[in-house]
Amino acid sequence: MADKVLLFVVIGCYVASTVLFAGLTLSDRRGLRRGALAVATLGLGLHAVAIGIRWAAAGHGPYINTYEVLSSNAWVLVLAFLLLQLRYGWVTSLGPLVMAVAFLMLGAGLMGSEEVKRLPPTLQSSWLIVHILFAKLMVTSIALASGIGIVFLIKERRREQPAWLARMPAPAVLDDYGYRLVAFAFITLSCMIIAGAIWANASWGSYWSWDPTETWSLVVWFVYGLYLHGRVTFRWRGRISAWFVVISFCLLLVAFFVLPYFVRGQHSQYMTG
Amino acid sequence: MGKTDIGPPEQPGRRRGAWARGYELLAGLELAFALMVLLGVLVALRALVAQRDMGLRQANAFIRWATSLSPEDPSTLVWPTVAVLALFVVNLALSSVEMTRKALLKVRALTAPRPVARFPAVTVKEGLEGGEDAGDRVERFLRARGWRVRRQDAGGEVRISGTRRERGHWGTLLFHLSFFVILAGAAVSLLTSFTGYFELAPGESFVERSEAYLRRTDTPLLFPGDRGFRVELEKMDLTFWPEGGVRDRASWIRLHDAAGVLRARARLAVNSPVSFDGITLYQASKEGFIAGITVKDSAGTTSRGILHFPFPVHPGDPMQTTVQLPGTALVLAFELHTGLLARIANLTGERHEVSLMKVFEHRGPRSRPLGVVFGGGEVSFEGLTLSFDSLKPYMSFAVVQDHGVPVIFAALAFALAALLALYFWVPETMWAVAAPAAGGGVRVLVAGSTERYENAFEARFREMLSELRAELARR
Repeated sequence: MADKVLLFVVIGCYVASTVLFAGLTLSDRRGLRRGALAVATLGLGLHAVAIGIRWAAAGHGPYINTYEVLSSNAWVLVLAFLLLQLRYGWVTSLGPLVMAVAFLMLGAGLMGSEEVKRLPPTLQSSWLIVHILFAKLMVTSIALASGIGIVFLIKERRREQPAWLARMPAPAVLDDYGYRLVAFAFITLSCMIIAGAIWANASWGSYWSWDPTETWSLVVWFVYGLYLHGRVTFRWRGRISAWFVVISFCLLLVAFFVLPYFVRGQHSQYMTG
Repeated sequence: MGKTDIGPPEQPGRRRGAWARGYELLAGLELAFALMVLLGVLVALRALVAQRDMGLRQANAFIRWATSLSPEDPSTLVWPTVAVLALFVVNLALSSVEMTRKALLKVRALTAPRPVARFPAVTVKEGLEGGEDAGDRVERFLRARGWRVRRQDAGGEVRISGTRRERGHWGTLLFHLSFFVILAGAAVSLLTSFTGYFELAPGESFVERSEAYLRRTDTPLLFPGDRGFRVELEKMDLTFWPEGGVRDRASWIRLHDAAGVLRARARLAVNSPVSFDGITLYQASKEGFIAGITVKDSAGTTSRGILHFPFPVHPGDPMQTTVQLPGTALVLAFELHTGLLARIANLTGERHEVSLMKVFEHRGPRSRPLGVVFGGGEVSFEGLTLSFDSLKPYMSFAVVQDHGVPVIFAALAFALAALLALYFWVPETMWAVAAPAAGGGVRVLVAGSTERYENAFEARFREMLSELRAELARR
């Protein structure tokens, strides 16, 4: 219960941060930037405390049901955003998008059941933590790459650019950053699938059982493999690259966050409980 | 901007024969791309088959429509998959030859200093002004920034090449070669893999022989013989969470080799298999109670059978199973209640040793009760007499042999390392030539090139050139 109350405060922080980042986009005031980052960091810290409280109460990490999965996904996304903007200042221009996605994800998680579920024997494995860690890194990387793709498409189309858009790197450089993020996501997706297979064998006695969630993750792997191949084979750059990343992110969302609610499987029962 | 030219120039006027064109097609990236599309589609169809078989709960129309695209018979996907994989192997083999050639060319040819006339097509090229010692300054500047520098003094010119992450040129080849190792591992797996299942009650033993398994796959071509080891189940370990739900299920086992020597005493659990003598022993997913029953009809015909009751999710829940009596349309449903579960799971509270089964005629949601039978007793209904002869708990186990798995995982680890090198250890090369300028002083022409992320490289390289310009201008 305490974690749920705290999460409502966190949502407030993320909403406030979204508004401040949006204000920064429109007015380019330095104070707004500092304020937006401070509020986002405060929210992140409180969010970590909420996850910790939940972890202590449940006896396991945040990966069993919708409430926990979406909450932890939002936390990783905000963390990645704040770390990247330290290295690449222009990333703050993605703030309104990232923080909005974070509070919407958190809100959706809070609408799910927050009943504490104990870990069954199949989930008591350190490979689960490895699998989940790479899954979250993958989703975060693809989300950021999609955000960059959207910004690329906007920047490329507009001749007269507002200040926030003009501050972003040139479209060609954005294209490179998006490419690098997708490459990172492809590697983490590969690690996620491999860790999952090792764990599945120890738990279910089979490395691969054509479970729908397992199989769709392989389809997503092929999709991003095609992207990386297309960049070499057909020299995909710019607009086609950005559209591919954005559309394939939608496929990823359907495969990992929509289908499990409709398909009964060994894997989906734990994600959507 | 352009990529570095690394291929031999085509001889003008020479027509390529059919073999050469065929080779190019089979080794080409375009074919690899097309095969990946096909494989992705086949895997997606396989996912839809799994969805359809598992059932959709309240899915929307789009998901139902997509699922309906899956083939009725999943075996129709086998031959297309085999054909695509075979073509993929051919493409991989031929393209690996090309990748090796290109990598060698890049490593040997691109890293050497060269005159301006032989600068390859590059990402960035710029001219700078410097003094007599411009060549020395450029060399020191690059070394200070972590470039590996090679220098050549020739004909009054200072020719410099700088490289970073040279070994990254091999990333593409190594990643693709790992697929061959994976396929080799898959072949080893096909030849050596074997899985067998058996069940034990506490105190019982299993001696490994192919005919002793309850269920098993075909005998492998390699390492087919019986091992003769013995597995003894000492004790079952079953615990529930306080609020319900299985917390842990495990078995304490003793492993004896074929000579009868005790080799290990281990706790076998889900996620904790035990490896022994080239095989792995797993805690399988079926466990519960086995009840022995006898059914007699009024003519004296007797039929003996066993009923499997899986352990309940919550300790207070009934254990249930159904069985169709042979030679009849009568389906019986059984509900087992036994104090043995509390003993096995060390549950607190009142314990008893009574076991009973409630017997129903199974008619879907409305079952008709037929009677109750206690352990050792019997119950009669509709001309039949059913006796409850025995009850014992059991755990199921799986013996797996697969020598291909370590090969596959080693190849996967190698592939991941190669992927990291491919995308995050990207080689960068630069060339500089410092030559006396016509009007006095020294002109330095600098060029740079990279394998990937050309735009970000160009931005960084131009920043570096600004710093170099300032360094050359410094007195």
